[in-house]
Amino acid sequence: MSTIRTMLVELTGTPEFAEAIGDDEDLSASGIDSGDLVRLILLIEQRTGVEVTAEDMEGLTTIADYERFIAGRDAATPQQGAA
Amino acid sequence: MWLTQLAERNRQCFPDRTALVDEHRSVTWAQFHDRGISLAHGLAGLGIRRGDRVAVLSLDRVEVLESYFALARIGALFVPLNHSLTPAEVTGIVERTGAVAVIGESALLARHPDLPVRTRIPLDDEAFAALGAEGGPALDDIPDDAPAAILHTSATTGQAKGVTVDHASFRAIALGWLAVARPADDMVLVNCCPLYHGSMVVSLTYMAAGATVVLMPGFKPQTALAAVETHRATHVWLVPQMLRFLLRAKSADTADLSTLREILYGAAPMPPDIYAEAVERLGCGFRQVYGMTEVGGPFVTLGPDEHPEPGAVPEVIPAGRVIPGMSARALDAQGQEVGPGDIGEICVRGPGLMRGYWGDEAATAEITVDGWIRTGDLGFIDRDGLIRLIDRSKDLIIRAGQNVYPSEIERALQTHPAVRDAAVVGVPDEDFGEVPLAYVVVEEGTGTVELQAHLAQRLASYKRPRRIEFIDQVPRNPAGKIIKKLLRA
Repeated sequence: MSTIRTMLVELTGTPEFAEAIGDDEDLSASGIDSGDLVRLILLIEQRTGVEVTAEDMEGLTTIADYERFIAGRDAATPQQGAA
Repeated sequence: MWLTQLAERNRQCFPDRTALVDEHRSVTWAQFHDRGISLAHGLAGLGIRRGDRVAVLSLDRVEVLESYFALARIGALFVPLNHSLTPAEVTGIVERTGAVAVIGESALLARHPDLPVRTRIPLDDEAFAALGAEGGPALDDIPDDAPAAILHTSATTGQAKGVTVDHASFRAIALGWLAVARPADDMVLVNCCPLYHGSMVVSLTYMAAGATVVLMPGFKPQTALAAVETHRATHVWLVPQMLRFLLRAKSADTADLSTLREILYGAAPMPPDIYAEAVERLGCGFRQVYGMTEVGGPFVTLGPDEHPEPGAVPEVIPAGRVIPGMSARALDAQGQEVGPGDIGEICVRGPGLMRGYWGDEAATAEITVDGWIRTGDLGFIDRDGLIRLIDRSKDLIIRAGQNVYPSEIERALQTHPAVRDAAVVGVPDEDFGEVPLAYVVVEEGTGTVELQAHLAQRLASYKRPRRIEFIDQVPRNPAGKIIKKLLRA
């Protein structure tokens, strides 16, 4: 299961979100509570260590958006020991 | 008519200062005032008349307040709709209020294609911006005792109750608030709370002073922090759970919040740990707002000077003192006032009170005792006039500032054919303050996924139980009433 789906299950306590929501579906329109979406962003910051800015958030509406965002930040972060 | 006077005064005194800002645009007081007139003509041209009800379905944005003020000029009542409600819930409100039109964001209107209204008016297209540009005949003055809005609150019946307020109510609360909280024209308020909620009256009071109000399209901590920095905000209005989220965001450590003078909070009790952390990290003043839609909104406040030091925060911070123009008493079960320090139900009287629940005289009579509105909150008033709340007499869950009645969830669960009995209680939650937990007796083979899907069709997301647990029997007393104490244990 993808990172974002795992987080959604953790936050909502409702496993069906992991399967029922499409990758490109708008999360706010999918029935997930707005408070849980706020917690999702905070959890991403906490788990990945990156700051999600207000500007970043404008482009984050679907699971695929979030996954791309995390992947992009991972790629941009130099690995320990890298030259 | 208060809202019109407010716009006219601010146009006269501060025509070029910013009145409202949202993520799309900002408007000056002159623009806001003039748009109120043109939009009123435009809406009148669409057949909206004095006394009509018009639903408004939108995230917070400038056009929402333009619509409220334009409708007030016509004498039509604005009926804000919570955009997280299900189609059935929204339709119910539209039907009960007899709304003739709905003004809303296109995306939200598309979610409700079958609303029983005569006219649907998208507020985010060019046609709306042009509406009324050609002007129209002079509009009649609307008296202060004319109803201005129907604001909805959760109810034990499962049907949201429409609280009808008039212009005099908005005026009374604003003047009382201006006297003690002293909003001023040099202030910038970031409003994190939805304009469909009774708490929108707080923004109206800052508008009355000529302050700038920054509107947020839904609460996101990072966006709210950026708004404070960008607009050099002096005040923020939020619920305590939003403050918890703000402090947790990484940008709380990097954003420039040095312009902040006060954080206004209300709609739910402030957790002592959040308050202490916020005082230490943000270094601004805090103002508690205690209000209720039925009494016109915020009628009690505790200013920064009377807030505790971070090292000595009591479990419950006093709600504050009643604002000038309104009266509060603690009454016993017989409706008699109790002495200072004695516990009773906090009751309120004054010109801010609602005119009544829309089309529901029985509910209005139930909440009113000799002209006093019963808040359902138990507490006492000390010799210094400080109101301290200690409990609720209503079976109510406050989830991040939103009221949720367990009976509404229980009824929704019981409409599922496999549910034999159900009981819902509020349980503490670190992030949301309280969340609903459902105990359900079901026929074998029924799972939580099925029940949650059933509820999703009937209840807004914030009302749905965080967890559903299966039990063999709901504990009830001999009268059949659920013994919730046993379930919370």
